[in-house]
Amino acid sequence: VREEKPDVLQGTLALLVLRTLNALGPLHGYGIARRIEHVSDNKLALNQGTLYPALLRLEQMGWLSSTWGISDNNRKAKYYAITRAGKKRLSVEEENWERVATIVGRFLKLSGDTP
Amino acid sequence: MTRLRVLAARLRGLFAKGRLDRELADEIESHLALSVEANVNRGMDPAEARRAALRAFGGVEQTKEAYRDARGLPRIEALVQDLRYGLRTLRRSPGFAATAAVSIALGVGANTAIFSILDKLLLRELQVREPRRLVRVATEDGATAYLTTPAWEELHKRELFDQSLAWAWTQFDLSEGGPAELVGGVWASGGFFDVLGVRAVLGRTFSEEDSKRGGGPDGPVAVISYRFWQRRFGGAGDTVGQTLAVERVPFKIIGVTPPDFAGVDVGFPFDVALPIGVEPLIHPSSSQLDNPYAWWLSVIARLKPTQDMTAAGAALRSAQSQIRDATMPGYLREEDRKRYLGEPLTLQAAATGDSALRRRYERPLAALMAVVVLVLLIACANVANLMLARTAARRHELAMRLALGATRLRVARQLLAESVLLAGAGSALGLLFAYWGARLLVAQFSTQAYSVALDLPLDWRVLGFTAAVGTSAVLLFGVVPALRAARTDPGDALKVGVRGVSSGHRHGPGSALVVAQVAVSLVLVVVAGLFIRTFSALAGIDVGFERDRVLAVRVDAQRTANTPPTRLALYQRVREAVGALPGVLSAASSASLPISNMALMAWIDVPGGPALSEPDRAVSLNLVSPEWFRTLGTPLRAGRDFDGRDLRAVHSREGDQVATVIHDGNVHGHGHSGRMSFRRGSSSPIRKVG
Repeated sequence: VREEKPDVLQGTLALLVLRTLNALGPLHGYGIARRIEHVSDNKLALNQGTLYPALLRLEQMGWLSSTWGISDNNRKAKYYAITRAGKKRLSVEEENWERVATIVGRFLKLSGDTP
Repeated sequence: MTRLRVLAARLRGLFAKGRLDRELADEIESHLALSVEANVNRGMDPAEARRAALRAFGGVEQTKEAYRDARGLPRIEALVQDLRYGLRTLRRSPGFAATAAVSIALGVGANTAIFSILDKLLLRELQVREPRRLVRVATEDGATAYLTTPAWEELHKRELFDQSLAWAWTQFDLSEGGPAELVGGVWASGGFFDVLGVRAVLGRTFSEEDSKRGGGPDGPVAVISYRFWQRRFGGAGDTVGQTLAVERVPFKIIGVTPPDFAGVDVGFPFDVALPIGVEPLIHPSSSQLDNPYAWWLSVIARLKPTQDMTAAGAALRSAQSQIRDATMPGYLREEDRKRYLGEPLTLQAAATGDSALRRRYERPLAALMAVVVLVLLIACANVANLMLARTAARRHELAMRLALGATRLRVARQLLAESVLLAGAGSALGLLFAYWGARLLVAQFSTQAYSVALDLPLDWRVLGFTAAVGTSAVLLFGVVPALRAARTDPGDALKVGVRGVSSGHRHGPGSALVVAQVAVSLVLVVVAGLFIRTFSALAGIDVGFERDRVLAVRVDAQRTANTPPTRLALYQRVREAVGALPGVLSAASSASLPISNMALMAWIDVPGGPALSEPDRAVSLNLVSPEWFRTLGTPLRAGRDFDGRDLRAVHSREGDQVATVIHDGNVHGHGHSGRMSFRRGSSSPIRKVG
């Protein structure tokens, strides 16, 4: 029986990407994907390809910047870095997420038929 | 903020899509290479490593698609795609495209042309301060009421309104000798520009002082229009202070009006404005200024802030008999006096100014507008029919597209895009037609004596109208074929031989269109027929002279240096000179031309005859030279034409007898030969000769 992996929730991908780049500095798309998989201990189902439209959107918002560079093993790759606006956004996203998580957690703790 | 930034980024994406797509492809490739390398390092063989990398990545094509949607503005891109595809399709059938576009161009062009005239003449407000508070003084039926200067001064000093002004349109000769150089002119009361709220762009406008009899402290002064300033002075900054010879009298230019102000008479713009008080300088011998019989001024007033039109009209009517009583011309008889005092003055809205041209062409223009709307409807029906036929012929193609997975909406949009393209091309072409057609039409308004100037700019009002007409044209002819196309059965793609056959809906929208088209065309044909009939009836009417062999020349000796006593001799010399030209049978002169709609009015009495009723006493009077009737080829029922003997009689005024010829419509009424008395001020007996 295969283990069921939860999908990355719509909107949380942005949080994960911003958080990753904030912690590790500039990374290419593959590096971001690996880091997310690694941190989640391979428990999150992430189609690596979905990262790219998300990265584009974050860049359009002005939260990321990108440049082409050379990877550790001498490959051309596009590197993404978090901007100052992105850092500001990250703290907002974190707060939001924690608030939502707390509320959902409260619902889950409630027992039986009286939510 | 963020939204704007995203929009800007997406707009950039719209134009950099090639580069962005290439970058994405590079990025994916490097991603996969990194992934494969990592897998190989973990001990997979290269083929397996690549498969694993692709699996982890997910769909490459889906990624590209999602990326494209996020990159630019997908809706706009789809629209551009539709339009480009539509353009290609239309280019493949140039005959159809040209026919449809020209049909629409004619419809849109006719509508735009008539609208631009209608708008300028009827709808547009004057470029003055608060035009909606302006009213003009009119007679009971709404026509302009003309006042004498004394009557205007009485009206003005009563302060019935917030402010008021008097004006008269005229033409001024600016030549200093040689051929006349006539420009549009306006006689303006001192407050003319202030009441309208028109400020000079250079110098100043008139003050009340300037309109004093004989001129104010600056002597005789003139204000010129922006148009004239540009044309005559090249917009020179030192124009103010220069001298302008108007009818060979020097006037000092004190100001230039703004470019968007052309006076209050729409269709007859002014170039030179003079204060009414200096009018005698120009017409020393025939001044209208203090002539109690010269009804020459029109009045425009500005309502008080608290006043509405009804209250102002009531105030005017309560004051009018006093005004008229104080300025009664001396010669009127008792009955005429009563009528004159009683005829009510009314007020009419004057936001759009006062225009003789408008009064004349208001109804024909409205009728023309209705006709061109019908023409547009026919053009639309025409194009809709063509489109339907084409849709039927393209059934196979459309079915194929549906079968390949295009949504019905997309197919309908596709056809609508073609309609939009046709309407766009048609409207653009139509604007050209309109630009040219409207000017041609306005040129037809001009008569030999006065040239009409309506400048018809292609401004946002006209362009907006054209856009609206074009859009409604698309709705009219594009929607039905589009819906029809969307209903195509994808199964038709498989059937052999459905190409070009409009199976099924034989009595669909197509036949309804044909019925509508025929009906509207019939209306137009009937209207056109009526026009032509009226016109040919007018052309065939017996006007009472030989129109094929008569030429007319307008001679204006008032503008020459001649004094009135010498003018008669001048006219006689002109007549003799023209008569002596080879090919000229005879020459004659008169005060007004036949069917010119201008005549002098006079009241007659028949000595010894029965007393005549009021309407019968009023006759139209023309002053003519010897041989006038022979020259025009007008047959006389009885008696003789004027000849030299009559001329001498006029010159010497022997016994105060002047010969007269009476139109036979009058003869039936009172066919006495011999004497009639004719009075204008003093009565002078007249002997009838024919």
